[in-house]
Amino acid sequence: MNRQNSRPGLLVWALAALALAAAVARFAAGMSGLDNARYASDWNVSADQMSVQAIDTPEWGETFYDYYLVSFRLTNHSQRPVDLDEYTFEAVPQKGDEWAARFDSDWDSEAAYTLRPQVPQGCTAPVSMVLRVDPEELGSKTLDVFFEDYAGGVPLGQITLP
Amino acid sequence: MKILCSNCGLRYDPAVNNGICPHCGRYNEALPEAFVPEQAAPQPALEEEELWAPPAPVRRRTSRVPLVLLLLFLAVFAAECVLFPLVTRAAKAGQAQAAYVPQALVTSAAQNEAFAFGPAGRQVLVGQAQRLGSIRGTEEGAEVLRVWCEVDKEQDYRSDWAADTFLQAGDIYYPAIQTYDLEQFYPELAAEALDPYALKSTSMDEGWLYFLVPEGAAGHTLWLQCQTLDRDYNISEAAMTGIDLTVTEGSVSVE
Repeated sequence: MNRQNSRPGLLVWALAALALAAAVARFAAGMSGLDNARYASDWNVSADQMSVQAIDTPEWGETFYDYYLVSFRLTNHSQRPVDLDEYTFEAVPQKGDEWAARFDSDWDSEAAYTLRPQVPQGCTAPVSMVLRVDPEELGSKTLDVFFEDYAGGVPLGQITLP
Repeated sequence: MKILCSNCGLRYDPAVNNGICPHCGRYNEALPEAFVPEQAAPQPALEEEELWAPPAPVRRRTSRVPLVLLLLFLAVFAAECVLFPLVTRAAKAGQAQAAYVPQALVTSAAQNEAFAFGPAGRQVLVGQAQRLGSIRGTEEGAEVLRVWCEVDKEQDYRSDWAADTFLQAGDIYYPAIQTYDLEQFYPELAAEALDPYALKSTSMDEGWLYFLVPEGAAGHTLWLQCQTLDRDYNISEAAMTGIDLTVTEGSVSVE
């Protein structure tokens, strides 16, 4: 056995294994993204009359954050009703930390039945969501509001914090 | 008997240095016959010794299989990086257009009066509406409201439509509490509940539609939604029939 000649062979085998792992991982991520896109394609929403105003810290809030009330009218042209909760929408600052602003609510984890406001298919309804902002991480007063479809999001509009 | 060194490729007599190559120092395994005394071994011809040329460089025996696999996997990875974003974007854009639901057609009906609902004009009657208040298990600041509903028998089952119900309290729509949710905590309420699905079934049915709405909300409208389905079972049209409700106080024994 010639041990000297086996070293470069092992290196190439290792690189091939890494390339295989990368190809498999990319395939899994791609199929997941494709599945999300098919799911997301059912979502067809738009918003208008978007406004934002500063509010006092809610009872369930934390003084560390600033709170705003974001209001708009949501039109749902999707195949399913739109649940109006904090996970449905996303606010992304144009600069600064991506997670500096999050929609928030007073969620009662003890209750068996909680309010589940929705916008039915083919309907328009007003939406008011509490936005929690970390002022130290925020790099811009302008935020893009998205509908979360788990495939990149549907842009709904822009808000500028007062 | 001379042997070839596996490292430098030169010939040498292993019996001289106990198997160690005098040119490079590599020890090489050799058959016992190779260690017989030099004089006993057959003498190579003089011409053969003189014809020896410097050995060719030793070729590294690297297999091409891993290299081919490496290139193949890299090519697959690169193709995935290019194709998946394109296909994903196309799938999202293309089907979004196909799945578009236009603005719903809105009609109205009266409480306690039968009206036609759905593509076959099924007779539906929306009866009394009762406020049950906050019962055990409901979120703070919310109350349960129920609406009596009767649906007539339907001759033919049609799969080209579906139905749903919403209660509008103020400006906000709330879905009906599903029967299987009620069964977990209030089986006695679930026994009298009517699933929105019953609106499109064929049998005669009646029962309460339960909703969870904010406490003290003013103005309640029950919406029966008729969804027209295409061949892919996507909603192609939606029609909403609204019934303005007069709500009375009610009670249930499970409080």
